[in-house]
Amino acid sequence: MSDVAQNVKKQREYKHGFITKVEVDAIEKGLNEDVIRLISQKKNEPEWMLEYRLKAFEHWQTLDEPTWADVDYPQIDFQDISYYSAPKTKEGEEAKEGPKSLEDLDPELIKTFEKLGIPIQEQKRISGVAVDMVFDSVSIGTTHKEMLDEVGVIFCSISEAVQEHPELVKKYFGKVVPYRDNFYAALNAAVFTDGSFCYIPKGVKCPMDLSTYFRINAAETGQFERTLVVADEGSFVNYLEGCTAPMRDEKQLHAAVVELIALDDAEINYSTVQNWYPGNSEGKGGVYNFVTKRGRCQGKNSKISWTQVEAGSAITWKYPSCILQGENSQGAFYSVAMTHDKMQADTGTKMIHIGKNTKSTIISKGISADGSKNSYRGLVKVLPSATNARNYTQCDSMLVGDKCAANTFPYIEMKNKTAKVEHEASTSRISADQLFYLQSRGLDMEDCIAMLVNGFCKDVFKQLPLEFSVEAVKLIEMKLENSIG
Amino acid sequence: MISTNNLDSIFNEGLKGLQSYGRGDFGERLLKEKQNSWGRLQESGLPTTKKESWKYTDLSTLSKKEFAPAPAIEMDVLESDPKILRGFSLDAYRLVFANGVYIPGLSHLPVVTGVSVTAFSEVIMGMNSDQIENFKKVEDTYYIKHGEASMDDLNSSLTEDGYWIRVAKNQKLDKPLHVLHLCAGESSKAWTQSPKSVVVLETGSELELVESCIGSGDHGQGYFQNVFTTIELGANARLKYSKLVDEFESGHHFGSVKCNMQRDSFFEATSVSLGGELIRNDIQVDILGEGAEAHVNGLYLTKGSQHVDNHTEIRHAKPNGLSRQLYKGILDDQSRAVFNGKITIDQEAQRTDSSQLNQNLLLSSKAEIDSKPELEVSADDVKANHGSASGPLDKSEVFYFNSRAISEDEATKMIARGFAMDVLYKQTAEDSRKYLIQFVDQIDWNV
Repeated sequence: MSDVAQNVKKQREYKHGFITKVEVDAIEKGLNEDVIRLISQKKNEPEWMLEYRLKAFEHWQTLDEPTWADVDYPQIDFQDISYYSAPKTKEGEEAKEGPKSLEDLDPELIKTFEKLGIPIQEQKRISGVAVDMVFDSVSIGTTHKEMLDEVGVIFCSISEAVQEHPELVKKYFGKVVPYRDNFYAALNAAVFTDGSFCYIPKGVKCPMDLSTYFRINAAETGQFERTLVVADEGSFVNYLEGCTAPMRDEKQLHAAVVELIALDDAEINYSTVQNWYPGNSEGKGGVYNFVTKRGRCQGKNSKISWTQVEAGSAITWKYPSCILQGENSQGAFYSVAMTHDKMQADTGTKMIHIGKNTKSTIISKGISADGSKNSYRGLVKVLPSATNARNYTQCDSMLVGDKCAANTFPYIEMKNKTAKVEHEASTSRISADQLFYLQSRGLDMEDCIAMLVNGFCKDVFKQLPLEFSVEAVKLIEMKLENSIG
Repeated sequence: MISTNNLDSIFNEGLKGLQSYGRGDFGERLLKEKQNSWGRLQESGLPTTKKESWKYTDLSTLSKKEFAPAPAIEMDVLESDPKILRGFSLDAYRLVFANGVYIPGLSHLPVVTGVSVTAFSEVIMGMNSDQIENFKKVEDTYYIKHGEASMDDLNSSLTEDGYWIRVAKNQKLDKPLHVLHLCAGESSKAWTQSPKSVVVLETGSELELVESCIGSGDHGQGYFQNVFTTIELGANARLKYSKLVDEFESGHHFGSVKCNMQRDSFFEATSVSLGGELIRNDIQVDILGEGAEAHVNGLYLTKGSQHVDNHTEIRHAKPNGLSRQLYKGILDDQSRAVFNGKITIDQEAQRTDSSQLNQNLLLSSKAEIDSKPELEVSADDVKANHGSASGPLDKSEVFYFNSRAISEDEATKMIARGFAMDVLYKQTAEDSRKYLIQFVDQIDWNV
């Protein structure tokens, strides 16, 4: 294939790869205590937050980078990253506390999110989704605020929450993912710049879906966002997350932390369509996606469900987990992970059963194409206190082409005899027979493949909210084009 | 790292023994191998729980034991202990080792053309020039490394005996061959034995082999057996292999089996783990020729504070292979079992059909099972699946028995036995199977 053709193919595959030209306020590369103080100062943070960051940083320095995941990449130079980059406001002033309103935003930014298909203008209420937009290191705006205020739902950037609702942040921040948890969680706790905060009060069913859209734009920066979702007793929320980045030849680091807390009878559904730039077909460029996501079903009868479509990133290292602490609480993990070209994904979940009668379901579908590697790594742990715990795990892999690999590494640790734990896994491919059967009924090759892949992922796609579901199906189909034949 | 300094004197003594009669090329090679292995081991130590493959099994108590040479064999124990006598119940050719020493008096070797069965010590001592000639044909296999590197080093540096079997092209035996590693005797200190053995089946040959590790007596600080067996199967060769581990209560057992399979060969392995404080079985099968077929099954029944760890690794390197694994465990009291199975399918191994199943029955709320079935697939036209299921007795099954006037205790015993027999009936060698069932039926489930 000629270079031009290759490029055309790439353009079609990654349509979010453009760069927005906005003036940015970025700090010098490097990581040390001063940088952390500077970030904290830029965000005008109270003393306790700075202390927390510094403690995390101190701990991070004692840690070694983990190497156990089944992925290969050159060592990351943590001093060669800028830890803060924010678009300047229209007046050119520093965005000290973030833009006051959407009107203050650089029109370029608004265009960016429009290009991405994110409903930034509230007039487009028809989409029925409240969005918090995070551009590089800062949140640039949150929509539908008034409407949410009416029912008492707090949905804002985490920086704003630190200012406006310190009591809530203090109570829940870092409680599910403490900075001591792992290398990247410690790094994130030290340098996190923004993210979303959401609090659903007692008994409220959130009137619309909430969503955060992450966009990395600046070069040589890392994005370290922090999301905290708290669902108080008897509340319910659907939360969506999307992400993209421009095509750049340098690797970019994304190390986020997401914490979910569900109290008695509360339910959180967290859905992600991750489409960071995966690098070109030779594996140049792309985002390193090292994310810690964890939810705690703290109260009785609480529910947390993670649904993810992982279609981007050069390297994915992500294990959305559930701590099932409350009696009768339920955790679920539905995942489609798609890798192509030189992408590597090591993803899965952890279900920690602590409370009685806790239940968890894991459905993981991996698709590997071209020369990529896709691993499922999961842990189901039943502690002695988890009487009558129940787990069902199914992970299926599909191989497209003979140069890719699909691995499964499940861990099952069971310390209670009344628990039932089941795990099933299989590996297969789109067979010539299936394709022939569909083609003989007049479908063309691409439709056949789309249909088969759709069927393979159906159990996961049906868990997604409607808009996401359509997007996810298209995304997978698009990525698989040219892979079969 | 876990130090092995407390085994220093054992190693030096073994080395002296070898120097006194080891001669010829292979004597030199053996000496060097022992010293090199010991050197590496001093640096690496035994694996700690930080190492992924030893995550659930802790060896640190070993370094705290005080080791002394194995005690003298008490022949009257060998001839009267019911457990050991059961070991002699299989109608088979026999090769007997007790406390690490070959016992010709209890052995019964086949005299069949084309089949060589020899204790390794006889080769070292150079008693028979034919044996030395024959050994040269399997010598390279003897040095193949497998299992955990430092456990292999431990075995290579301390080994004093073992056996080697060679079945020539298209030959077979009329009866199974039974190798017994017995531990009997009293000692206030811990002791160790490390048999290292080789089985070579040439093109088209067949063998039914049983290896039993049986311990009896009071051993104070306990002993540990570290058994390594390397198997080479030529094209079309067929091996039905069973391994029984029924050590003394305080005994530790480590075993590693590696089988290299050539074109269209057949391997059936059944491992049964019953007695012993800590048991670790590693089995590694490499399918190196097209169309080979491997059936690897295991059963573990744990009680008290026993810890049993089974690791399997099946690698398909060539096309059209088939592998099946079934590992089942019944766990009682505060015992703990680990299953870690791995299937690797290389890019070249198209049209491989591979499956693996681990099932566990938990009878006590203090028991723990850690199961880790793994798949690594790099070829697209394959069938590969694995499953793992663990849970308590099915109440409706117990109810069914109750409604037919069978007590709950009785029902539990019958269900547990049935659950276990599933594995044994995978063993197609009938004599071996009956022999193993005898041992399994000795287990008393105090429900």
